[in-house]
Amino acid sequence: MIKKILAIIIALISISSVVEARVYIDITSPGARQIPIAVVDFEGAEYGKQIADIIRSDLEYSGFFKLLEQSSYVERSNESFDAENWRPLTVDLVIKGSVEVVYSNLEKLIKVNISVFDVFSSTRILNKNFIAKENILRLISHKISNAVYENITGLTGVFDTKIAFVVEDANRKFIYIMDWDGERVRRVTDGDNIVLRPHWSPDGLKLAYTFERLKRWGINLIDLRTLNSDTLLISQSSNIVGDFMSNGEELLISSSKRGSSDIYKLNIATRYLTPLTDSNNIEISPSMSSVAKEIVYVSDQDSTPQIYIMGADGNNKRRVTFSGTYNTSPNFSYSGEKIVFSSIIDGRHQIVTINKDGTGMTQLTSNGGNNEEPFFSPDGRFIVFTSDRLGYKALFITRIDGSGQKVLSPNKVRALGPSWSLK
Amino acid sequence: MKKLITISLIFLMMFMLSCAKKKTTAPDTVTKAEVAKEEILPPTTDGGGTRGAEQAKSATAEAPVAETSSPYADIYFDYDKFDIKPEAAGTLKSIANSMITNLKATLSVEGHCDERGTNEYNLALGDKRAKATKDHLVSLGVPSDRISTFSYGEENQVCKENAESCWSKNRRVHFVLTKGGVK
Repeated sequence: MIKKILAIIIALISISSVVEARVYIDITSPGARQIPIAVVDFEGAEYGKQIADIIRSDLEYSGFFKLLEQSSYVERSNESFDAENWRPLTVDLVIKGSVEVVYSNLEKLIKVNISVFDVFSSTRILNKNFIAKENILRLISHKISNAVYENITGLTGVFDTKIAFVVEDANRKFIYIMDWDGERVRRVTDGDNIVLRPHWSPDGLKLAYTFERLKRWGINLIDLRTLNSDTLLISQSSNIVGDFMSNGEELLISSSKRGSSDIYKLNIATRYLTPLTDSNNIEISPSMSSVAKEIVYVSDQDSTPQIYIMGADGNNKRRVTFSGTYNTSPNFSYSGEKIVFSSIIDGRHQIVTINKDGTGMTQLTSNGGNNEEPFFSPDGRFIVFTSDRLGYKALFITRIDGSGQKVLSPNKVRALGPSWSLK
Repeated sequence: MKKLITISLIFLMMFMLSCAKKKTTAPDTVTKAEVAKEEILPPTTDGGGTRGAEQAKSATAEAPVAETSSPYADIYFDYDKFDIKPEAAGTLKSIANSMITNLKATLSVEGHCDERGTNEYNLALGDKRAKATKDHLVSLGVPSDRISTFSYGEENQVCKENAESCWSKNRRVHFVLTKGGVK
């Protein structure tokens, strides 16, 4: 008797856990089809359409979803979900929500409730509430996109991450940051003569960047919460900052202080430099993968600039690229599976990805401009890069398969040196 | 009785499981740090140009007070190379002579590149051009401690056209001579 009860309990538990862990698509299967979904404008307050628009853009760009045209929706967010309304439209998932404005301590807050419905089984698979200050409406929308994305794919979304970059005007160069989708562009520094690509700390709270002042190259660390900056190093040699190491306590840099550019670890607290390379050749542009615990960089030791890789302590140095005569500007994906870099092909810079063992070299750009300075999103599914295909330097984004290339930086703004935050 | 217990247990199990499925989570609040990050200066308009010019002026006013001049022509390099070309020999000899006779003069050697190639690698190339030039001057008798090197990479172009006629002008080393230089 007890055995029977136990068997039934176990069966119920295992059914429910299978339903809970159900991932609607298997990312690893080749040729996985795009899931057709509908995102209905949210009801209530004035923000319902804006939030839904942001969610639609995020999910559509991810490449996993096919957004159904809104004109064919027959059901609004404030109506209860009826699978019969959606079945004829061949939609798998429906996202609906509501927005409410509340006041708390004289602050205007927005409360958002979202639901994700599965049409086939006619069930709600996600129900979540969000609350935030009204002035960060876009951020909240991106966090909702993340929640929906994670629920359906099982992957962590990057829709609330940011891109830091350099803007040039006639005389000065500035550090700016913006949301991953090119919105909420805001300036971070007051301007310098020359500024090179900034790098994010792993916690997303600081940026390290290279600047030139009075014929000295310096490395600044700016705290985004206070906008206070600290100069870590400044001298006449070419000192260029690279990625943070994963503990956030050290920075990879290159410096020509010994004559020819070498790569060092710079301890932020002590300012102590530990060399990782030591040669009369150029070693420059270090980029680290936290997971692989290895560093990719550029070296001209075989006479032309090529991509190399070494351990986090500078050990086990080996060459990665053997095709082409000018391969520079590498970025290592967070997981360490892929490297993206810029290669001169037929006289122009193109964005190329390669596995860290040197196999699978894939060219992602092929238009008439020069495409440089690529940087992976934290999930390795997108790349932001600098391109002059519009006649001036601007930031572009692409999916990892080369599709969806579009400009990201504001119109007519000279933008370059992008870097993608982990958080 | 036993049947009743069994059925109740089953229903209890189903009830518990269905409750567990409905995750009512606490509302997600955005962290204080993220909100604080939003209080950042608005983007500059194109009018930022004049402000930049004023700042640039005050920056040069703070430069070391010394008489600077550049009576020497720039020397030029081949694409992606830092070898001293034969054509540069004359200029380098004049500089060396001047430095040897004027014992107080100090020289700044600046390396530049054309805009092809990537920014960071070009900074390293500019360094190599400056260093090769310095080494050459040292071999001509100029004391090493009176020559400093600096690289601008591709960040300081004399012309912007997309053609070899312009690129060749940017692949250069530029000399700044400081007479009676003082720190």
